[in-house]
Amino acid sequence: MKIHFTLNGQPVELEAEPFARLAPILADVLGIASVRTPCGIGRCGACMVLLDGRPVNACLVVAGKVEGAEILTAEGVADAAKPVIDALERHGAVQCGYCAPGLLVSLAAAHRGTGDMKAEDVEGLLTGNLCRCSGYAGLRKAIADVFA
Amino acid sequence: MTMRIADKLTGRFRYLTDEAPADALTGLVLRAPHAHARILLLDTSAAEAMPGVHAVVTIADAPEGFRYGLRHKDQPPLSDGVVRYRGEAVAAVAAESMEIARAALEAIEVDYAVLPTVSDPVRALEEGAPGLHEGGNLCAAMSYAQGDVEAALGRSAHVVELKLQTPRQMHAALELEGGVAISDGDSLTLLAPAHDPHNVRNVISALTGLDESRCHVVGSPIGGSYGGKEDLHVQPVLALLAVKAKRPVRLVLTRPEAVMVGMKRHPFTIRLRAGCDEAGRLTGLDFSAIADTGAYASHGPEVLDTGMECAPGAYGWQAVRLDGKLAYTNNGIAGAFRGFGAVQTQCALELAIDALAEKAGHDPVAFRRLNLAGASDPGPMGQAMVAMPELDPLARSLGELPEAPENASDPDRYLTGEGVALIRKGEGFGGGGPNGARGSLSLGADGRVVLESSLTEMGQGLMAAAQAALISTLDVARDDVNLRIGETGVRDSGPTSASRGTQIAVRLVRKAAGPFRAALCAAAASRFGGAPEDYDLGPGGLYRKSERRNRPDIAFADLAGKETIRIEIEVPAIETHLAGQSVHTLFTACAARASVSVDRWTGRITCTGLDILPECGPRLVPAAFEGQMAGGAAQALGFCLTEDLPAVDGAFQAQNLDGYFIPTIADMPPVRVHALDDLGADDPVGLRGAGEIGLNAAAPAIANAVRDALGVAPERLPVDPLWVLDVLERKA
Repeated sequence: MKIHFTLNGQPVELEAEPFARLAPILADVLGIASVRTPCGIGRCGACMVLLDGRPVNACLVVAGKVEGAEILTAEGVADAAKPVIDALERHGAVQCGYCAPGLLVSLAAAHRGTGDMKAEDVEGLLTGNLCRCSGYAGLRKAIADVFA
Repeated sequence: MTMRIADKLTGRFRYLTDEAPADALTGLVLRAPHAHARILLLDTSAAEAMPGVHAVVTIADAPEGFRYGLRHKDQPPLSDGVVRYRGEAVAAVAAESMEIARAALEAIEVDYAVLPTVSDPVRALEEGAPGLHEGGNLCAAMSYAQGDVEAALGRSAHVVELKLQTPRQMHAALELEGGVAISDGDSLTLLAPAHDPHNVRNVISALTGLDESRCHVVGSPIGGSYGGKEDLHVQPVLALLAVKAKRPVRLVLTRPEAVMVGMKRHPFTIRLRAGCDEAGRLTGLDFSAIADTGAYASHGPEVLDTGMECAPGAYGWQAVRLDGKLAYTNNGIAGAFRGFGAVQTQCALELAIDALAEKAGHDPVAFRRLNLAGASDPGPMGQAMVAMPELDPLARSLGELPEAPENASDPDRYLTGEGVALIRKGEGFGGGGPNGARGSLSLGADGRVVLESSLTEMGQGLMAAAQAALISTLDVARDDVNLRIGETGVRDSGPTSASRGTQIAVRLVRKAAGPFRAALCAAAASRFGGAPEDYDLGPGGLYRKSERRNRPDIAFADLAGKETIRIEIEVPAIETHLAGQSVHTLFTACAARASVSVDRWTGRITCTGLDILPECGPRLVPAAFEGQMAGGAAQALGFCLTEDLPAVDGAFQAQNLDGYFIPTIADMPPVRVHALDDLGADDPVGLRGAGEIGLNAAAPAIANAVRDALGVAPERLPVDPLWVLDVLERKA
């Protein structure tokens, strides 16, 4: 089937099987570098994208469900999430960085969703983003900086 | 090569497994469905004949009898006719698409004769157990005795006996094992995450028959390893495929494949007896362990040695007996993992120390202080030590920590506990391992100072530490320095492992700095006049000492390209040998305190607070240092409370991250780091690596906190909530 959506603000039209997964479409067909698939079952959060403003694991979303949607990847949220990036940088929150784009997408969703989100609630949102390196310590400090 | 967190967040930072040359073939591996079997028939002819298939490889493509490994070269690149673990590579294909590769795998015909599975490492060593290798299932053994242990235990006022079974922990790096190999048949470039590119090249050269000068290996950067990518993973199969296909091949494992065949932490089965006298002084320690290395040795012998070396802990004993065995089984392969055998034995010993402290009526910290080894004492196996900072200041700091924050949970439902641990662990390699390193410092054509070293970046902050060392040692600016690391195109710096990376980088920089500075000043003098001593280095270039300008008189770029300024450096190994034992002489110490709460309804344990006191000397990049402590603490928490990959008849009981639980942000308590920055002026190295030591201290502290909460030492890690409920029921 032919599907249409906007990807980081640009219109996209492509041919895809209705049950093809969004993550490989973004990574392999559209060349989005930030989308990687470490687990493929929606557990690790590394492939997180914003689908109409909601964070979702792109490895679980099928092509047939994104017709007409607005998709933002880590590349697409970076500008608006500049304060988040700066805080993560400041606290050395990222080590190997493989989980980092998914983390940024989740944080960007929290950051642009409701401006007054509490740090505690943001931490709750991030249980879907596994990081094996950091123990989340720098991340916690960054969250405390950016959120109330 | 630079590394900014912003680049990692936004996908600009590229990992080796992201590489996908446009003309790359897809590599796939045919894996054995049995844990132990003999291959009766392997026919790849139909797969080879398929259009779009460019190479099919089996053991027949390797030199006769080829094996690789560290101390034990026992591992074939693909099954050698016997399958020794479930998922072992039997054949591999390189094809023009994933679909063709899958079809090719299906077209390969294999007949197996299934053999009895060896799944229990203790039974594996018993008489009559089916053998995995010629020579039986004993892969390695170590023993050490000092003094008369039975006599020492016999005259003890208190003796504790303890058993501990530790988990098969999985590294679970988010980046999967994989890579790209590019070959025209006569040369080979291999891009795959690795800790020691020169060692990979050595193996690949011997495997493919291509001279080392024709093999180029890039191993950095790595998207997480913790030891899991220290041994070779896809490289042997990938190299064989690319050389045979004469085309680039990309091969990246799926997560279920990686869970099945990736390295794991060695499960240890430990038994110990330990005693102390009426006054609380330790007497005898009788410590035995059997570790499960799975089908091949990998780093197993080194893991066993390091674990047993750490079994006596940071304490002085009247008599010690150590007995360690490493068993082959059909349970996957265990290899290097941060903490390296020591975290297993340290958990057991520290549980015993707390049990003895309780029997002797001492506070746990006071009991440790009473028994710590002295700075000038021999090491845990009687070895001469290079440098051991005094342990008592560390123990004192542990005792003086501010009270852990009050746990606010409902006391009717939750039990609380607090535990401490104080450990030491060798840094680098014991017994003459590759502790030395080579590198170079040069002025690049772009006017930047370049440190060349084969050390690799895996998120531990090697690059940031090396840059910081360059900037502070040469007094130059951040933009003046550059790194070329993690590949065989530069000189061999040895493995980036055993917490040695930062230490080696700093020693290379310090050793090169003097001659490099002198060479630059001499070049400046010869080109711009004056004497070498008239110049000094500063941000952006060279400054005439007589003039106090705020800009360099000679920019680095003005010297670059016209002169070759290159200093080759070598730092020597720090090593001693002790009668054939693999012992360390350079140690790092660390203490930790943990708090837990135990849910009486569910048996679930939550770690509510962690304090870590690493004694590593000055911190080069404080945020990265704290990150190493917190990251190690998270893996320690998983080791104690949630992570295990049990094997049933050689089959692991999880396939992905939904059945194997690594800590989320919600599982992690605040981790407070209290670094002891002073190693003493006469420390010959001046700093210690931070990679492992936090994990090594946090795990036994958590285990002791569980013991404190329940009044019973756990006999198995991770602590099973059902066991907790059982203990509570028995107490009620």
